[in-house]
Amino acid sequence: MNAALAVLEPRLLALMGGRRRLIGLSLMRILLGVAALEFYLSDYTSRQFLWGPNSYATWSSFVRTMPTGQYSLYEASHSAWWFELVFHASVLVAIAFTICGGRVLTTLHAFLLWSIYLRNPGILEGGDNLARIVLLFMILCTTDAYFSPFARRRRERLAVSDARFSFPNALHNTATILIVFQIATVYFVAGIWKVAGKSWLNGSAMYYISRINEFHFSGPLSWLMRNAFATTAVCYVTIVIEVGFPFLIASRRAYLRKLEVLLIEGMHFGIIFGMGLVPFGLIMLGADFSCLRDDDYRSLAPYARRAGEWIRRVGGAEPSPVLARE
Amino acid sequence: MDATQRSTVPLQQPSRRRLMLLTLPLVLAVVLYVAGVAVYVAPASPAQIRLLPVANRLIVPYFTQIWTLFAPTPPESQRLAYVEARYVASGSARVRTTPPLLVSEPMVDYARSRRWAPSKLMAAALYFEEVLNPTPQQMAKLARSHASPALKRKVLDAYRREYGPIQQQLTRYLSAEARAELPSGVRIVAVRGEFVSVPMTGFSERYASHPPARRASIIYDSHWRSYIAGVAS
Repeated sequence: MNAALAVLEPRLLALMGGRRRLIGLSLMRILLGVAALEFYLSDYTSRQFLWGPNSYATWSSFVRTMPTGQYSLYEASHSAWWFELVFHASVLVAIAFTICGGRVLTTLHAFLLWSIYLRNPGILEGGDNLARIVLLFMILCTTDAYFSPFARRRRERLAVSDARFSFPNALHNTATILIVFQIATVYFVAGIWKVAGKSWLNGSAMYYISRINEFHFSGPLSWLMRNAFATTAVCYVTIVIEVGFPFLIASRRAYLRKLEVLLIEGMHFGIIFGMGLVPFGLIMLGADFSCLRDDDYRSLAPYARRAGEWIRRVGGAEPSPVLARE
Repeated sequence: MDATQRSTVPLQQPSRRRLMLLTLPLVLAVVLYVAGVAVYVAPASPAQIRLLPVANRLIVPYFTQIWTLFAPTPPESQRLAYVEARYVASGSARVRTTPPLLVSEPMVDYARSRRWAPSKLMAAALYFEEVLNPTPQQMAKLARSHASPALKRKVLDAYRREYGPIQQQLTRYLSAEARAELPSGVRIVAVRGEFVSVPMTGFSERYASHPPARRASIIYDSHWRSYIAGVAS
């Protein structure tokens, strides 16, 4: 018993120590926020048809068939003004959540996004499933330590709380573990199901996917997928990076973690550009960001700085005096 | 001091009892969640089926998840949605019928025209086919079965309870589409939706100059339904 406790104790202490993955969670917050805004605004002029009180998805059956234990703000009233109020409040909260983050805004955003997802499930595309789950965990996390107007102040406060073992730290770290586990599950399960599919193994799956009308957003992609080598390579690489995701993300070697995230981000850029699944791609890109550790991001900072300098040079702007001195 | 510049001074450790009290419930929550998700997403097997009711209690409704994502087999046919309407033109008493109007393709084109913010309207059209497609086969199977009339009635009632709201949505959807397609002066009487599947050119035939003709098949026919007025457009 004592031996088991001796093994467990340092891990439990680590759980209560400093908060982890603050950069990744902040990046995830921004991308989940942008994806939600895209969801709200891409059909702004059709909002009455999709979610309004006189939508084709009847309000009465929406209320009647609400799953047990769930609640949507849209079920509170059948009136048009209530719908408009909740819808526009959701857009404003999504903007505030994207820019500022923080626990209160995350809770509000999660509740409002769940509300609209429940209102008409027939138009969802898959990414919503991950966004729903991850947002619940994000309520317990610190998501505004970077890329937020209040980030500096938040980090100053964290410096104080990180100086002791505390329950809020443990809560943040536990929720972060669950987020990373959930994302690893998505990829691993998707990869394993692909291994079970004949067309993924014979390499023709990407040929068919690139031809589905709803996802045919890129002529060059479907042209490329006619090539037997290209489509087989894309199928196999997809399976390998999906099945390998949980193992590579948990690796002690930083380059493996970064390589895996780079490959999977590449896949999602492909999905956004080639298949037009913009909210799905943004949600998955955001989720992937939380899988890198803060040190991984810090090691990437010089490359980002160099890329910034290169962009400025190409753009013809003078380098800033600080960078020039460096 | 920044959170990134962690202090090198050793932190004061909590007592073992306090540590266990605060962290073990969290560890237990993680273990339960991981186990629940693992059972929930695992392929069906005798073990999974036995454990699923326990996993459902943990996962449903807040953590429900499906991660097949184009697996195991991506679609190998295109799905098209058609709407027909019976209407009476102004100043006439004769009921006319429109030809089948292809409504899914214009929506796909509309989505493609806004590539950074594609519309979700096309998903709305094809959702009905996804949900309702297996039901005619299930109904035919039920009619053929040797089950007692009482049992058949029970199954039909369960079917109506489950699919009734979606059928109602479909009628409203078809009504809105028909209203958008026809001039405002006409009185629409009835609407009908047909969901059609057209097989894609097979991978092995992709370079064929004359690939074999593909036969479209109706995968779901809503049959004629009374038009519902007042659906938001």
